[in-house]
Amino acid sequence: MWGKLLLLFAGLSGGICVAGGLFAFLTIVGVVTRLASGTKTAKNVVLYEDISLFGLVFGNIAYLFGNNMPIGTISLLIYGLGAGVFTGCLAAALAEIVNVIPVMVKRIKLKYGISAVMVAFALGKLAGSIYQLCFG
Amino acid sequence: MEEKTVYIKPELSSLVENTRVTLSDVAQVYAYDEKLAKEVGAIEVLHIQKKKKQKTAMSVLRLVRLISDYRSDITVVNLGEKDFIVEYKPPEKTKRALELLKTFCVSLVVFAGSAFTIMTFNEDASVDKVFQKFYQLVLGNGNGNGWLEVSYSIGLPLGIILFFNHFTTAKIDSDPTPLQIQMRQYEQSEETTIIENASREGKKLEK
Repeated sequence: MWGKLLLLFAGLSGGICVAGGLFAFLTIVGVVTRLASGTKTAKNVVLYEDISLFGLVFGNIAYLFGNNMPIGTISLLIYGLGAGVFTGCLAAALAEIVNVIPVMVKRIKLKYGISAVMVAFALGKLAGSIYQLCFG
Repeated sequence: MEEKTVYIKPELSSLVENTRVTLSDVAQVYAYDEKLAKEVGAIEVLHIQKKKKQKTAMSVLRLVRLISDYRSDITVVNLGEKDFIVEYKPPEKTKRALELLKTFCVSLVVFAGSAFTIMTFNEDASVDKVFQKFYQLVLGNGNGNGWLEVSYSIGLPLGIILFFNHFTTAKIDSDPTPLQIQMRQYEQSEETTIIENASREGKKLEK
């Protein structure tokens, strides 16, 4: 009995801390703010917070309990696209938050072609991802 | 003696829909003499040439110069921004459907991404193995019938509600949510970047 109560308590606290940490990270990196700013839907950020909550709950339940979820190929494609866009934004925003690109650009005194650097960044991610998924 | 001091307080960013931008569009104006404040507020500070969406960076010096041109015996006191942005948007009916579509797309990305992120985290941190360890530790065998899984799944949304300070419309308190703060910071750095870029390229309206 006490063991199970302890388990409940540990699981609950673990969940709260993991969620807090994960979302603090996502907020600081600023993926959602960038998506909202890019689409000029900044007034909907509160909605996006709710949606990310639903996404997290769904993903977590699917990971822990789901072993068979026949949602169909098209839903899977849409989901994959969404997850890809999000992860791409996350990678780019992460590189930006630690100032990799501005520092590099400043070091090699690059004045023009910062957009080319960004395209190269995206293409590199694509190439790496394809290589890893197909041959990894 | 008549009081001839005019106080102006430009906003960092102001949105206008008329091609004739007046001082009161970009700044709050106060003078002891209300008539004077009205006159000064009606001074044209910018005339939009092309009727398309654009942002213009401007220095408060331009406002001071224009007010002095209007009447040289006025003392101008600036209480607001030194450099600011005038954003022009041609009057148009808001495309409700497009906005909804965009919101839907962002929501989709955020949902899928959020689900994906927690799954990568769980996998990366081997949460299931940690649970097994815990069961072993507490119950003496590796079979806990999902106690940890269930409570962990309840804890996660609780943590987010605590972190984001609201669930749908029900707010815990009246503070802005972390994303709202982040959004505001992002927009502010966007505006200062526009001002600094315009200044570097000599496009800022100084005088």
